[in-house]
Amino acid sequence: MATPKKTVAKESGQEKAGSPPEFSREQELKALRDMLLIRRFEEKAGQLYGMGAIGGFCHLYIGQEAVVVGMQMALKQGDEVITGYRDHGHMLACGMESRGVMAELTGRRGGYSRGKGGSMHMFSKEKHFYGGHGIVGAQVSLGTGLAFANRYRGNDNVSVTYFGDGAANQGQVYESFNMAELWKLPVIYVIENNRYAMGTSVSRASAQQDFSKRGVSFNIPGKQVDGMDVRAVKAAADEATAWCRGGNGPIILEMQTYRYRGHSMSDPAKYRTREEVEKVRHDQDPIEQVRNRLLADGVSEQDLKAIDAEVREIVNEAADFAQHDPEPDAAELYTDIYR
Amino acid sequence: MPIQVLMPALSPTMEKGNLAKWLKKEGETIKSGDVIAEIETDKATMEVEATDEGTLGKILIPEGTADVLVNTPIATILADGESAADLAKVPAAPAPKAAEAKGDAKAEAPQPAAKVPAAPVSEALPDPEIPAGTEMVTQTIREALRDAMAEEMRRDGDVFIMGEEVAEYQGAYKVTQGLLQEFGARRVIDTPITEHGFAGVGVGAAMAGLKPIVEFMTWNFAMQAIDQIINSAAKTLYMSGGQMGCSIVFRGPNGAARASPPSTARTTPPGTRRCRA
Repeated sequence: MATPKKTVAKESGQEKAGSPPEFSREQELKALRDMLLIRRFEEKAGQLYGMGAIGGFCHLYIGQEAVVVGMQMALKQGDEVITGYRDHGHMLACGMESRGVMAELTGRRGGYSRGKGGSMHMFSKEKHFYGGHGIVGAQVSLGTGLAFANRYRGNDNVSVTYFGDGAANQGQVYESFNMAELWKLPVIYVIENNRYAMGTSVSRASAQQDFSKRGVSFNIPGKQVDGMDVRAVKAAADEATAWCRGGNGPIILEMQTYRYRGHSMSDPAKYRTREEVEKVRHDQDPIEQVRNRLLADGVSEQDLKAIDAEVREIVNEAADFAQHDPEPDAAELYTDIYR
Repeated sequence: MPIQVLMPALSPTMEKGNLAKWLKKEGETIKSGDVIAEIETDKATMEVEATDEGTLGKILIPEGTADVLVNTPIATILADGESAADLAKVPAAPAPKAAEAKGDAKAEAPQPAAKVPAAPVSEALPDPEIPAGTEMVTQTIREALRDAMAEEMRRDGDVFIMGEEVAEYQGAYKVTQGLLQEFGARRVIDTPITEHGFAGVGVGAAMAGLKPIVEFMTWNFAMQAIDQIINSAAKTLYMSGGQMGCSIVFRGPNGAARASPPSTARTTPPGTRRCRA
């Protein structure tokens, strides 16, 4: 294999200045719709949780939508996606159906895991989505394994392995980095840095707060990306997928993002101020950014409202299905333990 | 007085070995640290280094001799100032351990070994699934494990093996001996020492449809990876409602051994099956 030139590595931590490449109107509209779907879906999930229709764990993705939507826009059929427990957005971005995801949240038969997985454990082989993993950091080794399988089979698929700033401190992340670079596995490690690992801010938990540099001792290049700007995410994703498909091995993208809601439904988020959240919402909201650009480009408010209405209808239908679909039979407790 | 070189035990379990080759001739000068001979055990060919200095006086066991018991004198080394004539001074070779034990038993023949409880007698019962008259082959467990894996790898291209020292070293305990030569580095993969990581990589590959055999050098090390074994490999079939299974074998040696309590990993989490050999 040719020795790859590590040109990207030099950019580590320095990617700040300059606007990302413009989107076409079509791309802007797609990004808006996909991000809106995630936001409305998550708002509805939060509502159903409050009503007691969803039990157990539930971690909402509101605020981080640009990351998965921008990444997905750069992927091709066959590329795998895997993530941790905050996974609803990733599934919707992969094209999994709202009703199947919502019904899994409510633990119904029509859920992606037939009601047995819940919020953190959904999968779709058809959409190449490999979960949904509750163990913080476990998906990093698993995603590296997906890349291993691509390499083994000699295809040109890329594994997109998401994890957070909290998981980035787990040991197996670095075990995986080592093997991924050693074997030149096609994996994009997307570190979604939303500034808080549950209630612990990055500055209280991380000796190296520039996550794009976390691969330095393994020679894995990395890049910091404005994860609130879907165009910047897409541009970084294009570069990263090309790097991986070129046989250069893994790459790290640190997505600088923010979650508006608490870590989970039971988190009052007392570790940060209301003003901090409001400031991000006001200045950086990923959906508002696209809306404003579209309006400036001459798209009418009415057209945008129509998109919102279409998305709300999908979400309402999903919520309705998720509350009326039957629960799994008690006998399901004993199925799918052994194949 | 000339020094005797004894057949060394090159592993805790070695009882005898083959004297493959002498690297020094009689009359050659020997310095401490010189490799003087090569010895083959059932696991590997190892070098014997001299710990004394002088001249190789006499080779007592010629090269090519098989099954030389540990502690058998294999050569004598003459110290400075000694000559071949001094070889006669060497006392009769101390008998190797096995022979010693026999001699003692003979001397104390009147004392019955009644205090030692009789070893339990185990008799293999005929297996009803094996047709009568089937010709049986004798092989070690490690060979049987290797042959079973090779058979699966020939049958199915999605089967591969990964672990520490499984490939170029030919297996820490020689279970994967020869597999690299037959299947190549794509399917017989040496990993770094990183159990948690490579177990996870194996599970991920299995979720993508491959059929990995993940070897832990000892089962104790598998505890580093137990999170991936239980939370990712065993539970996902259930948690995905049957959609995302994982065909994977985790293997490794376990049980009573020196300095290794046999108490670890005797449970089988739901979603996994335990096989013992």
